[in-house]
Amino acid sequence: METEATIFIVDDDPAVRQALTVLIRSMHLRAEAYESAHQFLDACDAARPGCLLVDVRMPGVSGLELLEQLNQREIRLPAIVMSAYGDVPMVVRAMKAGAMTFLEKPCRDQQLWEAIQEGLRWDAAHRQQVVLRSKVLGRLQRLTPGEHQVLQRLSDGKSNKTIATELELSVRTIEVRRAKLMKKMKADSLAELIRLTVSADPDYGKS
Amino acid sequence: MSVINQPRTAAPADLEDADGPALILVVEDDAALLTLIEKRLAAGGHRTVGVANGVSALAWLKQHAPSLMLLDYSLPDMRGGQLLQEIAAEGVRVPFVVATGHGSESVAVEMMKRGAYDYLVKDATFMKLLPAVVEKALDRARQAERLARAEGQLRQAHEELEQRVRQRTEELAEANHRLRLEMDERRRAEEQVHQHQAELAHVARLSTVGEMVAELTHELNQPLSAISSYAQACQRLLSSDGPDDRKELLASLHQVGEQADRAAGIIRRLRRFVTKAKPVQIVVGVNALLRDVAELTGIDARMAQAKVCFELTDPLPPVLGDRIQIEQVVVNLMRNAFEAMRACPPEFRRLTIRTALDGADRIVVDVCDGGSGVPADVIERVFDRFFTTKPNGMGMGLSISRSIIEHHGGTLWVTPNADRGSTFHFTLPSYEEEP
Repeated sequence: METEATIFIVDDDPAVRQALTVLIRSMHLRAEAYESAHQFLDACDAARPGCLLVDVRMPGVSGLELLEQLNQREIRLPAIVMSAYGDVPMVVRAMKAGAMTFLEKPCRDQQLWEAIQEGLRWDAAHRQQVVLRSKVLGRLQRLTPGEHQVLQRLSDGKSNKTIATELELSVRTIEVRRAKLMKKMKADSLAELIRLTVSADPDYGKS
Repeated sequence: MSVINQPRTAAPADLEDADGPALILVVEDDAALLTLIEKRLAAGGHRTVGVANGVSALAWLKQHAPSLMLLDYSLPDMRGGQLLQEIAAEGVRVPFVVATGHGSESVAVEMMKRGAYDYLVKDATFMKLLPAVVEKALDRARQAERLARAEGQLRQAHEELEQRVRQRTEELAEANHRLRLEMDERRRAEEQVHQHQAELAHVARLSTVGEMVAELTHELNQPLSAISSYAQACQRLLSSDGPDDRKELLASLHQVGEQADRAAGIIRRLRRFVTKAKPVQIVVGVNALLRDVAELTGIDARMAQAKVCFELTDPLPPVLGDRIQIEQVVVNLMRNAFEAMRACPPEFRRLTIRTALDGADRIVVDVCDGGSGVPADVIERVFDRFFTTKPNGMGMGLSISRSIIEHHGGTLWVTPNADRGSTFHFTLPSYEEEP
């Protein structure tokens, strides 16, 4: 899997595109430029880490529409939205569409640098979380139905004794299942077990 | 002595005309001779009035105008010369023949100088010569009379003519004056209309720019943004300890210059467009103007994702007019076209700008779009002031455009296209440059 982050620049103006590319490369970052939202959507690979730098006003699919389409595809790429003519409704719409920051054009490179760094941090954290989540989901899948019954009740805050009564089993059996389950889930404590479970599947146990 | 003998013929004196029987005044103190003379003249078909002295003659002449006076030079009360003087002093003019008993050269010369038609000596031949002399004198008198009358008529006619000419000249001068006043008035009114139209056009341009402010800000911020990025990249490149990237630096600096020019161009075009210059008539190349306007509306074209095609006739004679106002018309037409095409499938988003020469002295510009077209029921109303189909439109663009074109001696109209969309056409008279 690709590990080096890329800044994806989407702007219809060739000069702006080229200038941003040069600037971002001078920051020792990798930059890729696209002339339209369509071109970017076609090339977009959710697996590639990075950050999106997009202008609001573009012919065809606008910057905001691009964010909305990425949302629909469940691609969570942090986006820095730029505009030469921003107003409050536009900023609100951009933030609702999941933009991380809104920058006025032209902007200082310090602002851009900070926005990019924030975006990359967020992306890295998000990706880490995704990896962790898939690991936790994998661990959950390895649990036996009996262990699931226990985990569900534990995440509801029930004690071993209550669970034993509900499942018509001995407290001892519940204790054995709980220990196995902790080991399978690689959790050191009950608190961590619950946190891992909920972060991987917020709806766990609710069905 | 008798003073005045009454006329012995029935015909009244005032019925006398040049060719009828003549009335002859005979001034003769010798009564016997007077009778003889009168008889002799009556035999010739003339009427006579006889008087015996100068005073009577003068008195009678004040009342009557005889055709001829036969004057005896030696009268009991005065000499013929004296009588003639007094007659002249009274302002009476009468042709006369002098008769005298004593022929003398000096008297003859005097009498002829005083205007006598003839001079007779009362000798043996007197009575024999008299009728012929009288006839001749009458003829001359009639001729003189006719001449005088003709001259009088001529003079009168001349005077009337002069009078009429004077009157007419006065009338003409008056009319001329009125016309000049009217022309001044009209020119003032025209100037006012012109001024008004120019002001309205300016307001409409400002309003167009107001509508375009988002696009224009974006358009202007793009090069500024690029400049800013390049400059910051250069700073980073120069301050980093990495490999010396001279090539990248140079390319970036070159781009900074290019983008600054681009921004300046946008500002220049915009400033020219919103300027409130007095309308000036200059020689304008239409093809170049159309390409310039396409630059100004480039952002509209890109946002509408429309392709702008030129089908220009080249060379094309120039037109004489206000460049900014003509640009304004094209901006309006192009922006309308982009707007009409915004919602239609990409393959139809094509704006064609055509120029042609119509006849020898008219240029036609077509702005043809592939948009939704103008509905038939509003096709003529689109030029009405305050008529608009746009939610934020003022309905000024086309009405101003039409008045601008008509002001330039052209026409602006719209026709639906055979397939889809509509074409706005306008004409402008071409301008022949002086060699």
